[in-house]
Amino acid sequence: MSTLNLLVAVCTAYVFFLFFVAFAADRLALQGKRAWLRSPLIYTLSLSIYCTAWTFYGAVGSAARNGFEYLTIYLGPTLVMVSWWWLLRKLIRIGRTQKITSIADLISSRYGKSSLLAAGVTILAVIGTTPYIALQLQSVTLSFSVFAAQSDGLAAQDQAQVALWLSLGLALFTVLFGTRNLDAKERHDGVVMAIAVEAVVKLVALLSVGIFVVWGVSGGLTEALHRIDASEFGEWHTDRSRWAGLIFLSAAAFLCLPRTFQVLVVENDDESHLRTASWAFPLYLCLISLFVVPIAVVGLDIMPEGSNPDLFVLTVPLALGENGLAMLSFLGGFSSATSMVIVAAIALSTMVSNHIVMPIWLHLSPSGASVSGDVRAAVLMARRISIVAVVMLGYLYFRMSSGGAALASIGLVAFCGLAQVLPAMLGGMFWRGATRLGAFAGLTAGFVIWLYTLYLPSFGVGTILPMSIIDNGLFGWAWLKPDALFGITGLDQLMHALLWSMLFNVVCFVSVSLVTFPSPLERLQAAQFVNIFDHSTSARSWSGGTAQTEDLMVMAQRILGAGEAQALFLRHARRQGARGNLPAPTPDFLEALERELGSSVGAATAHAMVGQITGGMAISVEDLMAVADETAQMLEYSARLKEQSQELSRTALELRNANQKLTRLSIQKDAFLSQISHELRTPMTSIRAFSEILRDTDQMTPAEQSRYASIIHDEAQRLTRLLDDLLDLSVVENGQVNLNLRDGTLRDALDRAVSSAGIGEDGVLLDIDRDPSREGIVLHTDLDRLSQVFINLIANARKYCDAKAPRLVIRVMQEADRVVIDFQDNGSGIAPDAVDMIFEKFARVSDQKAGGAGLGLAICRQVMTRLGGSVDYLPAARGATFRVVLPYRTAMAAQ
Amino acid sequence: MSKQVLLIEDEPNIIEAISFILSRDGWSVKTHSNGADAVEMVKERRPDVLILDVMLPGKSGYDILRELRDDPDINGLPVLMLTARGQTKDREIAERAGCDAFMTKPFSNADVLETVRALAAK
Amino acid sequence: MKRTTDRPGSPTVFHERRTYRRRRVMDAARVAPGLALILWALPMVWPQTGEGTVSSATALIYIFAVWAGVILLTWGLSRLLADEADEPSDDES
Repeated sequence: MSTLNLLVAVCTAYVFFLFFVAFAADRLALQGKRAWLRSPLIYTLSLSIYCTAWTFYGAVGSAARNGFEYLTIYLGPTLVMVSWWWLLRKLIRIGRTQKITSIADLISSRYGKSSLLAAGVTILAVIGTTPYIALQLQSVTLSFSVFAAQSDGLAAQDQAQVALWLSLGLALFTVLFGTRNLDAKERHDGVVMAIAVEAVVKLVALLSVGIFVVWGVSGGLTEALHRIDASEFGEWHTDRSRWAGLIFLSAAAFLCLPRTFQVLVVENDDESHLRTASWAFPLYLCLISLFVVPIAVVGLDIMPEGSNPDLFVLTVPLALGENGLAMLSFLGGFSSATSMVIVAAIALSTMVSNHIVMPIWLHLSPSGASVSGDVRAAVLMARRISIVAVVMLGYLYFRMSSGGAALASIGLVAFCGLAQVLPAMLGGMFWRGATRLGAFAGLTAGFVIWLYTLYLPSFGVGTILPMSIIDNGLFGWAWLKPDALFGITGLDQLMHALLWSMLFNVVCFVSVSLVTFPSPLERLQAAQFVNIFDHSTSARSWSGGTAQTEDLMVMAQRILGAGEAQALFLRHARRQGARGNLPAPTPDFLEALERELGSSVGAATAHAMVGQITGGMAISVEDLMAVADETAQMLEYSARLKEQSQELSRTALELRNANQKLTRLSIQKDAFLSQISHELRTPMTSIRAFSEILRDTDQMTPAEQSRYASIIHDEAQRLTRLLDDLLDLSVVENGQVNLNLRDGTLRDALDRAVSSAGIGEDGVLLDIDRDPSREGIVLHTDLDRLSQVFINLIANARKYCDAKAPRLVIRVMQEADRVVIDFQDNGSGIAPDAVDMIFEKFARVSDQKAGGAGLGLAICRQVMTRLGGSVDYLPAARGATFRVVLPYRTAMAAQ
Repeated sequence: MSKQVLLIEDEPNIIEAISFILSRDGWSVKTHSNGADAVEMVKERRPDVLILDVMLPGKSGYDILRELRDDPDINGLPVLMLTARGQTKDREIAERAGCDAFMTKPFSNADVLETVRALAAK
Repeated sequence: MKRTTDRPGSPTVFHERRTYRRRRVMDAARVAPGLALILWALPMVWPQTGEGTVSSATALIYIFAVWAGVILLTWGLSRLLADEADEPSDDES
């Protein structure tokens, strides 16, 4: 079996092993054993995603070429980890509370959920990461060819084949384990576990080679150190600007690289894991870089002139006949490369699908986001396609750059590009004044300068940027030369690009932020990010629902006004059956509240505001107040104006109505006094005249005497009736009436009324239409009073119905909780302007036809009120229709 | 030939009472109980004295009096107005309309007789 | 970075001494990266030519010694901060 075949077999076995690890971890996670999977140790190991094949192989190469400079790549992240207390803790807390899914999401979320910013950062990340993936593919094919050189050699064709199969395998793995679930928290247990295993393989491989070189080759630590002093390393000399610049750059990259952000923030399961990682990950980095210099020194010593120092980790053991060690070393490099590609693909695909594919898809699909099931499937599909696309993009880049030397430097170029996100990120975390436009300006400026001074030139002179620009500057302006902006020469190209891009980035970010004004949502998010620890999830700081409701109340009062807010909360508290005045923050209540607020401040803001408080998230109430106050002030001002004018017109209308009513009442009172006078004096006139006749006249026939006496008698009775009516009204009105409650049917009451009022004194017969079958309702009420009301209504119909053949229809209707009796005649009804007066005392529709004192209906209404019912005029009906309503508790259907 | 009195009044008992009193005194009493055609009735009957109630169906006593006074043919007719409304306002309206005498119900029979006699003597 | 202040309404300080100690540990945790940065920036001022140049082995030992020191310091601080990590005051930064 040839070495190459063995290699392929080992590779395949290793890959299967990784699949198994990831699969088992996912299964365990499903069974709820995540605690074991997510230990601080696993978290620390997963951070090693920072160390790719570029550092695994390249560190030794870099040391062989540039001395100690390689250390900066590890010192930067170490400094970041040591800064955990004030930097990473905050970043992770923000990521957890805000449900951040990627670095693009972080930036977008901080600056008012700007989709433009998210897309910008995503594009930057794709541009910066694609060459990096290509670099991993290259390192694997290179290491393959090292082994192949031992047997029959590896043709370029085969190298491409290796890269292709590797890409496909990695894409498959990532799709399988990276898109199993669409968790809001974007955690991938299987992937993280596989990466942790690979981290161990990397470390063990490099340590083994190092130990072999120091103790096996050099003969001990002291000898190894002597050897270093004796070698080309000789004395300490590094480029100072690169030393400082690269520490900064690697620190920035550790925070901003999509893959490190993924494991550091997104995959973080427990904040306390950071405490362990704060010292354990620096230890890992320290161990990884510990033997780099000895390996490089030995490599330079024993390997032939011109051999590639990037592959010393592999070639030194091979040259010394340690095939097993070389195999381990190969697996270490393979691990570094594969884990990087997997995590980078997950991180990038999340960004691409969330911030580029989904917005476009939602924009194009007509139904929008209304069908949630569809969206879920679409997101998963978008993510899978993005993963394959990202990996394939890396493969294409590898094929097109044909593995040239340009790739070797691409690591730092990518670092520099992604570091452009740093000002917006840190500014967003620590400076509330940072605005969306500021972030956008800074990112754009930094990105453009990086592109022009570093990224495009990195493809080689004359490939993308023409010679003329590099020699003479853009548009022939010498101060725009890509390698010497503003005439600053003498700086290393990377440092030159880093300096200018970061300088312009920060200046634009700060200055634009200072002059622009953020939107309300931006300000909410700013407060939430910067003051994350003041209110966020310390588990115990929110003491249950009431505290939230109180905050909601305070906010709602600002926007809705105290009265309305309190009424709203009270209403919901009652509905929920709560004892106090505050309802529990149930989804129903929150939805209702959000709608109420939304009508004032707009749906988006209302959603954000309610979400901030109820999500237990970190927004201080003061921050909300600031925004709410502004909105409320404007609302209040316009509302007050509107209210004032409304109140004015309302008052005017009321005054006008009251005045009209008073005028009408006054006229009526005068008319009544005249009327009552007339009604009293008319019978009295007859009485006086005939009594005088009886007194003064002699010789009267007995028939005459008797006749005149009976006239006097009748007229006296008429007077009595009138006085009775007046007294009756006064008694009923003052509530002094004693109700004589007893049982009886409605039919009896109606019979009595019809017989006493149906035929008038003038003998005119009123045709009364009844339906006795429906009148058999047993009532428990004052039947005499009820009859009095009916008599009045029937008498009114008889007196006022102006039809040729007067007819009155009496209909009884039994409803759920009341009995309704309608009296409808076939006359012309009551004139609309008189309707609201007829129940007033002394009211009479016309002077001339009056037969009473105008007290009947007033008495009826008073009586019905006493009986717990009502009598009303139905204006819409044909003819004059009066409706009597009795509550059902005084009525029971006859059994 | 006895002198003629025309009584325009709608209350049947009052008509009967006044008719009784005046006919005993030798007057010829004609009655009418509707306001609407009262003016024509007056022109037709040509009474010596008119007794006019204020509240009449069809037309008020004030309107009838005003029409009579506007008619040159009979504007000299003596008129006694009767009203059941006892307010001073009503008396003013009646005098402005041009009545010769005004009495408030209930009245004394003697007063009515005396007033009618006085008006007839004018 | 906001300094720790006693906000009105924050829990009464029962263990005056312990809280004070803890705040100083937090200060140390903030300063630690600065210290590490300064120590690792020192090689930039080492003479690179002529008299007194530093040998590679010495440089290597120095850098890794600082590294070990930083790791130990961070470990110690994280242990101290972990003791009371569950207390509410942990969240003041």
